[in-house]
Amino acid sequence: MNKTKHYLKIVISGHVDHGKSTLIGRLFYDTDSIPEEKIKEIKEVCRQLGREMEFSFVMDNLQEEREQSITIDTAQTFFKTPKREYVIIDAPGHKEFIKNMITGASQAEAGVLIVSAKEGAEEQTKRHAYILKMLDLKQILVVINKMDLVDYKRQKFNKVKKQIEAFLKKLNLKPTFIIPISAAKGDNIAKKSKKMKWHKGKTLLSSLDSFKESKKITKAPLRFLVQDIYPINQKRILVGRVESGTIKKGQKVLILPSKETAKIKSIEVFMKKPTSASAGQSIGITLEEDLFIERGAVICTQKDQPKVTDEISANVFWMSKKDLKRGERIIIKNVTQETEGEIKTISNKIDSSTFKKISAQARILKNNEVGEVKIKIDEPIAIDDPNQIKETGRIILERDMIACGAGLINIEEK
Amino acid sequence: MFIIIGIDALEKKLVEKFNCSHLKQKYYGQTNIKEYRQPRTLVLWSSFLAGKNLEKKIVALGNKKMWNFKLKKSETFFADPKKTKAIDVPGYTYNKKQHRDERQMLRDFFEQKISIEEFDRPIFTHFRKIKKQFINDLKKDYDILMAYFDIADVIGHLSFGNTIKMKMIYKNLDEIAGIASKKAQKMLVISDHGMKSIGKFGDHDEKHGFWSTNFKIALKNPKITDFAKIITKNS
Repeated sequence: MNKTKHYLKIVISGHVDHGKSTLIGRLFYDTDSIPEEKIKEIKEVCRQLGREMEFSFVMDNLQEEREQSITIDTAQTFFKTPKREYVIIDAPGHKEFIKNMITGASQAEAGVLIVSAKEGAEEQTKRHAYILKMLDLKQILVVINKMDLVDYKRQKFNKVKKQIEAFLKKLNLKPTFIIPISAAKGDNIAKKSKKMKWHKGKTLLSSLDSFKESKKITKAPLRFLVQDIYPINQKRILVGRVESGTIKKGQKVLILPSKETAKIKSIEVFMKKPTSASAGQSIGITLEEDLFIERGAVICTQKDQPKVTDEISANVFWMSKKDLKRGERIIIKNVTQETEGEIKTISNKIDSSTFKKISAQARILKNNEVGEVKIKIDEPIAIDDPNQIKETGRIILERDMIACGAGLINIEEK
Repeated sequence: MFIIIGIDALEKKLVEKFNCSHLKQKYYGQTNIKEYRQPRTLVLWSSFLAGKNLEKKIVALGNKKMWNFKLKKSETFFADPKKTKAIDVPGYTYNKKQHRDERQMLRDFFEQKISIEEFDRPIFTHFRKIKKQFINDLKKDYDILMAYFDIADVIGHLSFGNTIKMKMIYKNLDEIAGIASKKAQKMLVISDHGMKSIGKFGDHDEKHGFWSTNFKIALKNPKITDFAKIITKNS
């Protein structure tokens, strides 16, 4: 089970009209990651309709297949280069875009922000950049798309590049690469563009190939969050994902919030009997002790424990047309932990598209506003500093089963 | 200019699914065609043009002669305005040969005489021809300009289950509506009936058609025949 993975999880975000679907379609096409006959059919219908090949339909096809297939990871699609495989998290068009952006993208290792060379950064671009910041991604790539529509002009690229750099700087984000591309025409995606010889940097695919897969979380403190419990052959198998660190057979662990201790009896993976499992792996475990454990339990070690608390402070990005109100009761989710709570205070409000401070203290948080929110929760949960462990350092706020907000937890030292 | 885009078998669910904002325009909904025994192309479009139910009259001609039915200008909402044009509209300016060939090809496909590609090709060719003519005519100053597109119906019969193909067609029709909307003072997008899935194939929806306008109409559950008066009043 210690086998190193050879894939990189990326999230592609940006304004809805700036060419995300076309870019994803192009990535699949240029890496031969889609059946040839499907490409042939799409090409033929485009031709019959008197148009050039439209790569966004490749994306539609992937989405269609995804909707029809019964898979657990419905929001993930794959393409590969000779170096490794890529997982695109939260392909565009998904109905629960924002929810996936935060929950699915919580495992992202790199982010691609797409901006149209014609339109430049718009409000949505800035909001998505804010989300990338919330995801704490260190590897960010900006693609300035639709260069074909601005005659591949360097000046236009530089103008948009400057604009992007300026607003990313306000967020303390520094993109590793900023690449001029045309997803529709294939410029600087897999091959260097002949029309933009002035661009001396890498192509999109070679830039992605230069990103590093995150390995460090396997060495981080153990966090295994129980997703479900399956009684199989008189064994109680605790199923879940190792969110960080490594879990080993024979290891002594602490179960939170009950604070019971236990010893790992076995690690269960279909048709295998591994002795350890690392961050990112979905596994089952059994314990030597017969303990009553429920969904949401956090398994860690005595040495590196998360904070168990009934009060959470988080920087919340609110994404619902119905305001978040002080005093409102709401559902709080942290990986598989779930509880209800009451909004106690809202402070330091800012606008996510202008990054301007709105007010120090507030009664409500409106759509697309970010604020520091304090919540008193009904049942204590185990949380981490997102700078230490991303996965348990974030919360989702839900109202009527719909994710309305996402937040980065502030751990206050007492 | 009052522009009418007639689209055979335009299905409301797909217009919404594919987010075809130009086809939807400002106001949209379904027409009620339950009064017709069958959603026949010629019957529904002729009734639309005349503003009255012509099913009895047309069906009485029999299955073969029915296709020769043709309304006079004076019997349609094209009667009063000076400058009008109707491109390939069933029951009026219909290209009989083209549509007879299309029906024959459908039979040929089910008798396994031709492949789906062979079936599709002339349909697309005809579509491109009508599209080109319509876009050209948009530059002229008509009182009423109407074009009829049968691609969603004919291709849909064999490929309704192929979502990507249908999306590509709907998006193209949406683009046409977008171009037309820039020229239209008033615009109506109308279909005779919708379409439902029969496995990978498609069949006519017998209960509803589709309508959309860029202006408010005072109809709650419109019939396809209700629009003639509106067109006359607004053109």
